[in-house]
Amino acid sequence: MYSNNDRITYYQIINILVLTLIGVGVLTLPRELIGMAKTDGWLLLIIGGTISMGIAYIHGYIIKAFPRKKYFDILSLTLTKPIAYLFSVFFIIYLVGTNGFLLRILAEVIKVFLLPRTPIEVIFIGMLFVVAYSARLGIEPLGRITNILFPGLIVFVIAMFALTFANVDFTNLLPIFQTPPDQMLRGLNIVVFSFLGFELLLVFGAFLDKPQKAPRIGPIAVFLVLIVYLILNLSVLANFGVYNTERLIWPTLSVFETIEFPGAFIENVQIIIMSIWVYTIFMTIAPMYLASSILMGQVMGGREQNYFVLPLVPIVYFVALYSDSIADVYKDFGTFSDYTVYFIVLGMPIAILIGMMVRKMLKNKDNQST
Amino acid sequence: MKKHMILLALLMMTSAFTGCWDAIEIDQRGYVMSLGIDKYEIPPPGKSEEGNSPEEEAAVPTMAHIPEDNPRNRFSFTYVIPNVEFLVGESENPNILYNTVGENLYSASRILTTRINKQVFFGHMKVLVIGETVARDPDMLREVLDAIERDQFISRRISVAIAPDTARGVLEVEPLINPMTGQFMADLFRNKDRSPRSGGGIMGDVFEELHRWGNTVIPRVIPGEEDIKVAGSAVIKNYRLIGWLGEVETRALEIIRGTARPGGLTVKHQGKDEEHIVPIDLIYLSSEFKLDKTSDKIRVIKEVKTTGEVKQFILDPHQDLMEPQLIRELEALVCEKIKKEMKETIRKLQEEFQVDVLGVDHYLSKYHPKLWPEVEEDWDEVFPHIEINVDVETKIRRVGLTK
Repeated sequence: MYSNNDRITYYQIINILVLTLIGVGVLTLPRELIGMAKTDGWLLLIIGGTISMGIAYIHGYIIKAFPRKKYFDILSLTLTKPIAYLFSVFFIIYLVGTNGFLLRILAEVIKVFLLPRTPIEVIFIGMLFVVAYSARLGIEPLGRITNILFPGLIVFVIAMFALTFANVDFTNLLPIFQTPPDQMLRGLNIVVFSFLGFELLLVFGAFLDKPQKAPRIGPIAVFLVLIVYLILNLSVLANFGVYNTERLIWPTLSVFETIEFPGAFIENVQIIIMSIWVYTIFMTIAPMYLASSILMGQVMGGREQNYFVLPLVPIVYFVALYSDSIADVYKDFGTFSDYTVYFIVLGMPIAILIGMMVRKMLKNKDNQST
Repeated sequence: MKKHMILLALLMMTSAFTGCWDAIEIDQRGYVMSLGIDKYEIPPPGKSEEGNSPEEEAAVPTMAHIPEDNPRNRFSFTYVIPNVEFLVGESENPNILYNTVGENLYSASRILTTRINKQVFFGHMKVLVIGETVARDPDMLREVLDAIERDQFISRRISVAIAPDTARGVLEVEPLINPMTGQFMADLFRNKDRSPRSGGGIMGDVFEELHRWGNTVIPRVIPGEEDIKVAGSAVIKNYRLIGWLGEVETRALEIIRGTARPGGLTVKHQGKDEEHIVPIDLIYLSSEFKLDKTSDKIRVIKEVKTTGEVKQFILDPHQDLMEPQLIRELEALVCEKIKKEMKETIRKLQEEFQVDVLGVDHYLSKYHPKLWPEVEEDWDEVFPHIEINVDVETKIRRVGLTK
């Protein structure tokens, strides 16, 4: 039971994925939904969530088709080795770049709310070394952390959300069904972005103890996160209304500012929320970091991934320092995602599926010819 | 080798103990309980000599020197910091008041640290008082409110009020019942049994309305000799104070907005040969708009439902409050009175101020998304001409212990 055999259970991978999905997107999501669809954000969420569940199912299907195979091997089996190198390196670039931007946003938020005088570099290094430490030990410790903390976290988050509904105006949710469909469609990419993280299943799939259950994992994780997002959107809208939410950079943090405990024995509850959020961000950065080091190991043909953990630290660090201001961070992150995400999440799995089909056809032909 | 390992471990441990970078000890912070914001005006010469008595001077340590008139001195800020010495009984002054002038809140607070040995901290602020002069200047009001909303330590639950004269005048009062001015005002705002004669005054709600259309109402705070009163309200149109609503008008407005707290209302009942004064305790149950679709013009109907309890009648064996007929009469009187007050307030807002703080715009944009875009652009011009009818329904449920 205590051995580190690099196997994770069904529940552990779901926990990891849920916590990976809830990342920095959750801070800005209500504002972006309102920018796209005003009060119809919930509808957009449901549509986007369903699409994400569909994509996540494809990812799981690939894992099921190649049980216990490394992602690099899956790629080289279906798409030949040179393309596998190319795709894997692209995947690594995506993971490292995303991690850098995530780290920067994390540090910016911490600097605003918790540590105003700590240099941002110190926050980076502090976080990166903890992440690197956990990544060196592989996926199993990660799964165990989530096993311990996930249930408590859920209870706490639900309690906190319940408190935000103390003094709200539910008429703020009106009117509904007013957004034209074409505007809705344009907003979809933002929603799908906010569910990103399930693509890690492609990399972590090799460590599943029951790969035959893989197709269910992604959709379940996305569904759980969808529920959290719906509650969040409801809470923010009911508290602030459309117009005020549009003005807030991080409405999700501001909404917890409205909590008022009777007797006021605790003020500024958002500090507690901040600490929970730092943990969920850690659980976004750490799996991504681990995935990038695992992929590095596979590309280099090494048996272990630990050698590649520390060399990645300076790269992530410099990506995090790349943007100038908080406004630039969000802009650069958007541009970076636009160029990478679609291919990683949609293009690559579809390419693999096509490769699988071609392989099957060739096999049939071989069978017939012999 | 072992020695080196221990040394290395020690080094690594020290690097892990840098978390206290931002630590500030609790006695190093000056907790601002309430903040007053006024427009800076040059004090008339000689005022300081005649106006302030010596003890008043001691209670209010003001500026070390009279600031010169300089374009940078736009605001005058008053910080109320509770005196910790007073709490343990070692000092006579419950509050420490600091007054400083400056161009904006941030630099004024920073400059203040050259005069006190603590760090000004807004995290526990309860009340913001804005002087009338600032509220009348849309730029200044917007600057100040943005600074308040942007600050990560100031909660959205603080109370906000506008003082008809200066905010400083309000904060200088030491109420008899609780001389800690900041705490007193916070309690005043939080009082659950407060009469509906003042609005909610919660910062977050004010922001929400201001972000929407720039119009809102903010409670008025009036300083007395040894007490402070929160009653009436200031009407803000386009981020600018354009007028005041009295206490009765505020009550009517709060009823229309649906945010009225339980409170009393007094009607005069005409008996057989004499008139009785009948105070009634009312709970405002619901307040809804309805759009009358039959006419081309926008015509909305406000429906208000209340229930109440008779608090006083007359000590007279011939009067019987257990008579349902009498109750009906009283109900009709209450309805009529509320209706009259509401109509008067609506007239004032439509004709005099021409600003929609009633919530008609909220209602139309939420419940009539087809109609709203047509009028949204020039709602300021449309609003004074729409027809608003009121409809009140009152049920008196209880009459107390005697007949």
